[in-house]
Amino acid sequence: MASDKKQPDGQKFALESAKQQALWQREFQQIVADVQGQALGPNWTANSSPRNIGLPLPRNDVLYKVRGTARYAANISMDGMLYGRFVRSQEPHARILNIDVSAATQAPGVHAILTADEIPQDRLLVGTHDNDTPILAKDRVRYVGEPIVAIVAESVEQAQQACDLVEVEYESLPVIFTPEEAIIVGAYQIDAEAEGNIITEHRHDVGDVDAAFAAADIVLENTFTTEPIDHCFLEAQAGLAFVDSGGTLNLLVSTQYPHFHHEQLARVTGLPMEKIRVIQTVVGGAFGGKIDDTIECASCLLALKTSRPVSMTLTREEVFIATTKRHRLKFRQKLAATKEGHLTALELDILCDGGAYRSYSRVVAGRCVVHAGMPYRFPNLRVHFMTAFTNHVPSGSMRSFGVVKMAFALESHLTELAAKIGISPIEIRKRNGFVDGDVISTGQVLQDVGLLKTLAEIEPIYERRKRELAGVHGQGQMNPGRKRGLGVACLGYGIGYSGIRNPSTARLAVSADGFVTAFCGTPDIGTGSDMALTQIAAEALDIDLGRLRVVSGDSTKTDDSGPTSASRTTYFSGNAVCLASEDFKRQFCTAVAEKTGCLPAQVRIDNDRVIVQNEPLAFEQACRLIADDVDAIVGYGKFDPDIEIDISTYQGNAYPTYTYGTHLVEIEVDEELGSVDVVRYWAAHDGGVIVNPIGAEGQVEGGIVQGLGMALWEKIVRQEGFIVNPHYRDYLLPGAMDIPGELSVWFVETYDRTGPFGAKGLAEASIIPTPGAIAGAISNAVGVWPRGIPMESEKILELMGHYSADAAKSATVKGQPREPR
Amino acid sequence: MTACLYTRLDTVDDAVQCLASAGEDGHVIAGGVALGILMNERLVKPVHLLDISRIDALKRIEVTAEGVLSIGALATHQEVLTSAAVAATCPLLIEMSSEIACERIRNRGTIGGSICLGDPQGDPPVALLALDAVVRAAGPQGLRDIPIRTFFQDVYTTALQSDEILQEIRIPRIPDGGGMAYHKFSARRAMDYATTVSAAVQLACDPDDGRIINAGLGLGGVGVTPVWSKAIADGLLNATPCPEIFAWMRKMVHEELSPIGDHLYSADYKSHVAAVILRRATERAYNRAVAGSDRR
Ligand SMILES: Cc1cc2nc3c(=O)[nH]c(=O)nc-3n(C[C@H](O)[C@H](O)[C@H](O)COP(=O)(O)OP(=O)(O)OC[C@H]3O[C@@H](n4cnc5c(N)ncnc54)[C@H](O)[C@@H]3O)c2cc1C
Repeated sequence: MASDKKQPDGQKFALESAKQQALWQREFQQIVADVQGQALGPNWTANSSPRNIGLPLPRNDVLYKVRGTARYAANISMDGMLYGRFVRSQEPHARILNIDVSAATQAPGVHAILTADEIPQDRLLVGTHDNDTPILAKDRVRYVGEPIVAIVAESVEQAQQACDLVEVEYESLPVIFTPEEAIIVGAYQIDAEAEGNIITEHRHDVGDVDAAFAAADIVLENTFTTEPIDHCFLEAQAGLAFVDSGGTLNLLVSTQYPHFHHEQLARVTGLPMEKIRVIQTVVGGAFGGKIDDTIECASCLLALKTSRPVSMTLTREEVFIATTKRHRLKFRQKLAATKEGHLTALELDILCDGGAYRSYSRVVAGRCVVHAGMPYRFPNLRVHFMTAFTNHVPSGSMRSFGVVKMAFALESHLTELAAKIGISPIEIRKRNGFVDGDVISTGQVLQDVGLLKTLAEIEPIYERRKRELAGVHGQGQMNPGRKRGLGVACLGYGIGYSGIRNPSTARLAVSADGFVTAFCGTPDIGTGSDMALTQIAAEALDIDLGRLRVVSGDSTKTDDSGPTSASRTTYFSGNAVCLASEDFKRQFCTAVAEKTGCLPAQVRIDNDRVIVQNEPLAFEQACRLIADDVDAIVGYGKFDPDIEIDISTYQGNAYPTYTYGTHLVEIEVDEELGSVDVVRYWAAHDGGVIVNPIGAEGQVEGGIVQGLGMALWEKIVRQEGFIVNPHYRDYLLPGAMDIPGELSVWFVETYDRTGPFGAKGLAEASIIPTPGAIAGAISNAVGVWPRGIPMESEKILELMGHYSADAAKSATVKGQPREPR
Repeated sequence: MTACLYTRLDTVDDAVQCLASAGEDGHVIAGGVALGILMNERLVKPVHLLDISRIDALKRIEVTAEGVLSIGALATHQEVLTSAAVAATCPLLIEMSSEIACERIRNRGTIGGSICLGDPQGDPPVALLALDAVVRAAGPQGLRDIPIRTFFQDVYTTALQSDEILQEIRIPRIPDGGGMAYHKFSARRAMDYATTVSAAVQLACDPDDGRIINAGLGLGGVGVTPVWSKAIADGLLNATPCPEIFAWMRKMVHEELSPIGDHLYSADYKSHVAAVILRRATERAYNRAVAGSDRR
């Protein structure tokens, strides 16, 4: 039943968000002027220093977010809109014998029902790196929660009721819930192409590890485990698909990567590329969880089928059970060192639960292999990394792509080593941490390394708190049964994709009234990257911030520049913006020169003015002058650094640059209960030159709090393939009250020669040291080493030997307890 | 949620009558904090919702002439928390209420709803068990008083009949020289509910020799219902807090309770936690009793 009402096209939505920006832009100019006025110290004049880089500017999206007018995908509605819901698998692994939709067809409000049978086989499979995941399961389901049928109806409730009426007949197949079982010879092969159920396997061998272990003074060896966790973005996956009056399929969607969906939709729908448009809506968090297909293809197919707009939003429970998780890891780590505290060898054997489809498993593996041992010098290194299929929801990408888990083990061992040889946890890191000129395991030579600077920032705080705590403990000022401890951990993290080219592009256009629009390939996913790009563009063009507007996240307005992930946007897209600015200025100055009859070399942009033969014009004046030609001016920039690793040898340039940091945490352990309170936290980061300190600080704080949840509480628990805690009531995410009372962030600001105005990436990596730092602090406080995360109170108590009913009884209490804090 | 009948009641009598005529289909809704979730998850599918939330008579908090603290079933957690009458007579309820979720939930959820739900995780039941409260129900036959210590019968099952409405909670006058304390254990500081263990202790001691002469206690999160242990409470009588009495309490907690292990904690650990926080609450209640200034 096609509605004959004219559908607005996606432009409407894109423009509305641009309009929101424009409104804010006006208020914003005043804020910018104020901040600039304050920030310009006596030695920092407009000519000698950047005017826009490093300014603590509020982000250009905050206003409409705090006012509640941001248009999230689930808030957008259109005339005649239908709502879609999925029928999901109730079996971890089964053949589908029959799908009976007859009752659902009759259900009130139902408009269409989609099953895999209606989708041609060559269009059925989608995926970010491998097209291996069916939009809807056909013949077989591989995990509980896999979508089988999609239904659209007049309301969400009707769609859900119809879904409940669908009867799926299953025949159970052998189930595999651990990678250990998966790789056993003769195990049921979950994926037709994957022999031995191996999704990906990597080996990396540098130096002579065996000899190094034989010669070592100290060897540490332990097995570490991590549990799967969820991204826990507050906005669930949501989107709205519709065909506009021009026949273009529009998808408004909360995503990290509009171009990915665009390309997949072309194949899945059979429509030509130019008949598709994917527009990113305001994203309420992503953290790596919004770069796979969830509702995108299904909602578009249903919009085409019904000729009606189709809105789909996952429920929280669906986000938990049916979208990607952080990998569950089990690994053995063996580390060798001299008695002087010099690291000599590291050996890692890692086995990962990849879940039922590939998603980002290979990417996670590749990054972990390159990051093994980082950010420390290990002359000898051996890594074996394997990820296997299981009948769990697919594991995918999440903030740091697995590096945080490796850091948990490595940082634990480093701190342990320091204690063994009697030096401070800072000192051991100073002795082994990367410096300029160091060669990493891929043979790449490092430059602009700020790691030691971050350690130097943290060291005095560590020494001070150590003294103070010794006093507090010594004088019995602590509540009885409570112990404080300090923990230190570092990070080193590569910016961009691992060992493959991943260019980013930008285009700059100008209007006759003097506004410049930067079209950037990588979208803002709530991190404030559009703001950073605005600042970079203003700086590169030397015009006022208020003139700039960033358009990102529209697949028809920008080139495919990869997703916003892997800490790449400020660095990659920022560099692209810088290149585009050079191109823009050349074209702009040429146009002005032609109009004024001088040479292009006699025209330049300076401090928001255009200088023509030493005569300053206001920027908008110059734009008016060339009004007829402004449309022809398009500055283009493509940043594509020489990144390549040979997978067989793991040699080459892994990343164009690296970000570093050091974290220090103070915790308090309740010795009777094993519970941990995080009371203070300090973080020093080398993210290159900081483009926007407010934004950067917020990102680091967020990473720390997310890391804290992962370290202490968060875990997805499964039983026979079913997730038992798919709600916030029993999946324990840190809340505002759990944020440490003192949380301080510093930036050491190493100027990166390859970055846009010296910037590197930053945000993602701030999660990396947290679990390792907390583990060190627990050991410092109560002398035990948790080897698994989350480090739950029960496990800590068990390690302390206080618990088990008997031991508990013998725990004695000294003194009178005080009032609780 | 599916559609259902909805009636708003203005008096207790109307509510009782309406509940009687609705029969098995009737379902009382107060703040809706708990019921809303159950309906969302389709664990409860009421046919006929009887909204009692506007019955003003059930919102009163007062101290009667005999010194009984009477709290209307519809008093919200926030009203209990900020009530002068409660502060003057029963600070335990203040300490307990401050541990319930956050202000938004406290503004909506009622003490009556909490008790009628019978959730073993709930805070109010634990405190009321320690206080030996009496629950007054209104039904077709009139009023009925139920001691709270017999009220919680099984998983989400209470002594309230399906044709009864909880009217008020009555807390007997606390004798002088008493002290009380509430202790809640949770993994996080953020609004934990599903995974908490809690303990409430109310005791009085002899002003001359400091012996405990009266004790009540409640425990939450350690079984299918909120629990009360007569054996442990009686064991405290005539004792003063000392390592031996606490060792005995710990042993009793391990013997008496049957907590259910879940995805976070083993049953053993929960018993361990219960023993630790029960001791802490006892010590604190005792110190307060002795200090006298903060008596009751
Ligand atoms: C996020 C969140 C956090 C929470 N945290 C806590 C916490 O920390 N501690 C805690 O104790 N609780 C907590 N709760 C639970 C909640 O506070 C209580 O269960 C709530 O107070 C119930 O009150 P209500 O008025 O909303 O009851 P409703 O939801 O309206 O009713 C609950 C049940 O009781 C019945 N009922 C209610 N009133 C009467 C009456 N007068 N007579 C007969 N039957 C009645 C209803 O029929 C229903 O079955 C939390 C809840 C949420 C959603």
